Amino acid sequence: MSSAQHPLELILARNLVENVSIPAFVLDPDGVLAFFNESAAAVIGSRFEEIGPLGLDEWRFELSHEGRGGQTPWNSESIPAALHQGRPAHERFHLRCRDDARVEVEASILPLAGPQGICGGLLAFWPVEDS
Amino acid sequence: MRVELLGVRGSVPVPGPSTTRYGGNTACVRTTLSDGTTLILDAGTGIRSLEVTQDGGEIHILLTHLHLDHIQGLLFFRPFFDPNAEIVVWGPPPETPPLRDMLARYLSSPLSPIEIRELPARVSFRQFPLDGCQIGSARVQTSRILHRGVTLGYRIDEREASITYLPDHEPALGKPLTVAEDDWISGLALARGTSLLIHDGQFSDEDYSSHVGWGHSSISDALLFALRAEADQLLLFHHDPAHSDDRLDALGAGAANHWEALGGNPSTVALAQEGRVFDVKGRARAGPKASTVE
Repeated sequence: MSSAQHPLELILARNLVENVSIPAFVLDPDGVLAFFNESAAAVIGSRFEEIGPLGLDEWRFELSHEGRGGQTPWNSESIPAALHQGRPAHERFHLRCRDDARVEVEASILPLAGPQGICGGLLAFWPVEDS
Repeated sequence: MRVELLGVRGSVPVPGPSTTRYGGNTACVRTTLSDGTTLILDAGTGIRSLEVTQDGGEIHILLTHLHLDHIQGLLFFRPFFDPNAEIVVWGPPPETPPLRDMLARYLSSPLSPIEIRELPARVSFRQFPLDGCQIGSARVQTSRILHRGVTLGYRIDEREASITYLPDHEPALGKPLTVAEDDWISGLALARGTSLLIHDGQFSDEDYSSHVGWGHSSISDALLFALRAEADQLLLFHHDPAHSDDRLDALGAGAANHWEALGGNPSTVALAQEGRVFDVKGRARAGPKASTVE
């Protein structure tokens, strides 16, 4: 049996985010950006297939202004906390979109746990109206 | 590895003149390993006809999930009433409540005249380890798969031969299998390169369109899944209780044509029939990989 398959929780999460209109990321247990949906692509300005899977540090760098400026977004370590300790979190940060556009978003991350422990997270976000 | 189909029907047993050829019993498949170990996949009503000797040591029952059509034969499994029998019933997570307690909801008053604690055999109930385990001469692996409720698929490997059992499975839910990437398809890694794939094919394509999300596959999706898994042979399983033998004949012919159109050998796909016996051989051998030996 090949191990190259995402756990069922992530498959279900991807199925869910592909079928809802709220922008959302699917993260694996290491924080790798395993997928984002068309609604997220509309905000970012690029489709997931153009960016591909990105490691936690990579996507925090590539997709955030804070990352570009040397400041780590989610600087309260809420993503690692969600993925390692199973704690949901909610924050604001600035998304760096196509052509360096800056969009302030609020984001909530929900850890996904199965019988074998935490297997990833679902990060939903939405642009802040007054940004 | 010898595989015997004892029940191939989904949802509810359907005895009667219109189901005599494919059979009306619900899911149960016996696998006999080369060392004599007996592994019984699911305990639908097909288990009632099973004769098992204790020569092979412990009897292992591997439950994919606890829907009634997969456990309703348990009480009619004769070795449960043999005080010398040793039986291990394996099942899906969670650990809490324990498998025994979950099954006791069915095997207890007022639904049952006999309680689990009254079974004369030595029976243990265990959650199947999600990282697999060795049973007899076979390596048994599992994966949780897309169906309603927690459901396991099983793969049994012995030497070069393997069977993969995914009787209730809807891998195309949410995304067509024609476009889904391999690592995002439920059960695909488990089934990869298997000698014999026993897979849910409950619905015709027309029926499936009104049953999306019910946890079962269309025949077309089962074929695509088998193609993606590079299975040597496919048995379509868990037949709709509404489908008569004549209807299943037509669906089987359509499946063979579709399989051929996908580039497969039409002789390597069939609808499961109760009573059929297969001697499963590994893919290293030439010619048909699984042949009937009835």
